[in-house]
Amino acid sequence: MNIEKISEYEFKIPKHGAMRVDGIVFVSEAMMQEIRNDPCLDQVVNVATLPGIVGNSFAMPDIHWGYGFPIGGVAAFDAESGIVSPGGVGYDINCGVRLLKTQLQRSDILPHLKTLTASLFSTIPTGVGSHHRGHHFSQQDYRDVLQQGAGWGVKQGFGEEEDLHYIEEGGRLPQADPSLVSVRAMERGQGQLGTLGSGNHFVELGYVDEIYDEKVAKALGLQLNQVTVIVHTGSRGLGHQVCSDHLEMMIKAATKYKIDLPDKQLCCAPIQSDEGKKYLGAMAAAANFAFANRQLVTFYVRQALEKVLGASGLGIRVVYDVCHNIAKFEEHQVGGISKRVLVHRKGATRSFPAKHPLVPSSYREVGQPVLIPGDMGRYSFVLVGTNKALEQTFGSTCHGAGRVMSRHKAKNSTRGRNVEQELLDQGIYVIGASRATIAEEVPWAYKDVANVVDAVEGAGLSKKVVRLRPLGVIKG
Amino acid sequence: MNQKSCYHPIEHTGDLGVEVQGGSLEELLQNASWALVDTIADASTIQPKTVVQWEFSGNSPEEMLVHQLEEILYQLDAKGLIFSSFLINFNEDSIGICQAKGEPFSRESHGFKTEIKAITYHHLKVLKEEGGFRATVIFDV
Repeated sequence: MNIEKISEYEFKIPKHGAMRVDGIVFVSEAMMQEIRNDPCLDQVVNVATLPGIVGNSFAMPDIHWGYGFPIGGVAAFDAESGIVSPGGVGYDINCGVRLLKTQLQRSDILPHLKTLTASLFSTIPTGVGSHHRGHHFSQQDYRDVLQQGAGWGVKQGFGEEEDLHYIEEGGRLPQADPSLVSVRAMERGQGQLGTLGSGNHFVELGYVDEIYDEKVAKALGLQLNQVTVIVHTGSRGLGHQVCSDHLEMMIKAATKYKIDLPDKQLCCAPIQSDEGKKYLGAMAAAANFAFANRQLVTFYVRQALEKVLGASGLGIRVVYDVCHNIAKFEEHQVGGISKRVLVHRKGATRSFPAKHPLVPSSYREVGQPVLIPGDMGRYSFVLVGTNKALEQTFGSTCHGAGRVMSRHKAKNSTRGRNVEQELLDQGIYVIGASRATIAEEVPWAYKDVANVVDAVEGAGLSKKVVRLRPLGVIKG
Repeated sequence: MNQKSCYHPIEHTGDLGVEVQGGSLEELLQNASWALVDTIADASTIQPKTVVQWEFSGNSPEEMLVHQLEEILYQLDAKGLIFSSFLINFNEDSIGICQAKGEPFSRESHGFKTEIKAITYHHLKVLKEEGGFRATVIFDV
C-alpha cells in the first residue's frame, strides 16, 4: 500500500481503486512502522469507498483492527446522499467516559482507599449478568430512558440538573425512537441500567498528578492532587442487541441499494432510506440508554463515597461526559460551505474547540474536555478540543490506549504473579468481578496511552490539560 | 471427544474467538454453544436444573451459528440463565430446535470469566470437512 508521510504525525493513503477520498492516519513514524502491514489500514481504505463520504477516511493514533471500520476510525457522510453503518459505531453504542471531580485531596482518601474501593464495588453492580440492586424500573421508565437519556436520571433524583450541562449533547440524542428498539434488545437491557458490565469497563478513583495547562485546568475546575473519578461504560446488552439486529438488516439493505461492500461488516444503508432511519432512531435510543447508565453509575459513585466519608464536603461534580462510539448529525465546514453531515466516531472522541456553541458555556473560552482513559496501572489524560480538529477531522480525536496483547496472552503473562499485590505495591487498589478480568486487563496488555495522547497533541487534534493517576479501580 | 477438547480459543488482540469441531452440523452447533458458555464462565460448574427450548434459523450454516449463539447471550442478559448442555435438532423446515439445560447464573458459583457483547461475522466460517464440520467465530468482548 502506498503511504505518504505528510508531517510528523500525519500519513496519507492516496485515493486509489474504489476509494472516493484519501485515507488520513494520525500516527508517529514509530506507530506507522507497527501498523504498516496491519489489516486496520485496509479498513481505512474500505471506509473511503463508502457512498457519500466527505473529507477523508480518518484514523486516530489508537487505531487498531475493528469490525468493518477500524477502532479509532472517523468518517463523515453527507446527510442527504451518504450512508450510515452500524459497523462505524460498534456493538457498544455510546460506550463512553465520564469524569467527576471532588473537593477532596489525595491525602484525604489515602487512609480510606481500601474501604472506598470496596464501597464502589459493593454499590455499583459489575460483571457479566450484573443487574442493579435496590432500584426497579418499569417498562414505561425504560421507554422514557430511551427517549430522555441522562435527563431521565436527573428527573428521577439520580443527579443534579447541572450534570446535564457537562455531557456531550446534554446527555440526549433527540432523534431517538424507542419504538424501533426490538423487544429482545429491551429485554437484554432490562435490569442493566446503572450497571458497569465487564471487559474494559471500569470505575477509577484517582487524582490529578500533573498539570500541563494551568489556565485550562483552572477553567475545568481541576487542580493538583484533587481526587477524581472516571466512569467507563456504555449501553450494555440493549446497545449490543440494537447493533446485532441492525447488522442483519443492513446486510440486506446494502444489496437492495446496490452498495458495493469490500467487507460484509461495513454493511450500511443510505441515511435517508427506511433502513437507515430505523437504525439511526434505534441507535440514538441506545445512546440515550448509555447516557442514563453513566448518570446512574454517577449516582452510585456519590453514594459509595458518602457511605465512607460522610455526605458533606465531597462536592462531586461532573467535569464532562464523552461518547466514544457514536454516529451524530453535526454541522461542519466542507470546502468552505457549512454542511450537515453524519459523523461516525468509532473508538474516537469529539474534540470541539473554544468558542464552539456546543461547548458548555463555562468551558467556552478553553474548549470541550476530551477524556482519554489509559490502563489501570498508569494514567489517564484530560485534553481539550482544538480548531485544527474542527477543521480537519470533523472535530475528532483519539479515545484510549488500545490493546497490545490478546486476552489469553495477558492472562498467561500473569501466571505465577499476584497482579493485585503488584498494583497495590504501586499504591493502586484493584477489585475485579473475577481474577480473570484483572488478568486480562493488566496494564502491560495495553499500549502506553501517553504515546497516543502525544500523537494527537503533535497532530494538533487536541491539547493536553492534566494527567490523572489511579488509586482505586473496580473492574467488571 | 469431550466438550473441553472440541474447541480451542483463537488469539485475537481485541476480542476472543474460538475454533470448534463437530461430527455433524448439530454437534458443531452444540459444541460452539458450549464453547461460548465456557468463554463466559466455567461451563463445567453449571448444573442442568432448568430446561429451556428455543428455535433458530438462518440462510446459511454461518447465520444459524450466529443466531444460536446470540440466543445464549439473550438468555443470560434477559433471563439470567446460563446453560451447559445443548441438544440441537433440525425439523423438516430446517428450523433448528435447541433444548438447553442449565440454571440461573451466579457469579460466585460459576467461575465468571468475561462478558461477551455480541457474536460477530468477522472471520466467521463453517466448513464441511472429512468426518464433520469445523467453525471459526469471534466474540465481541
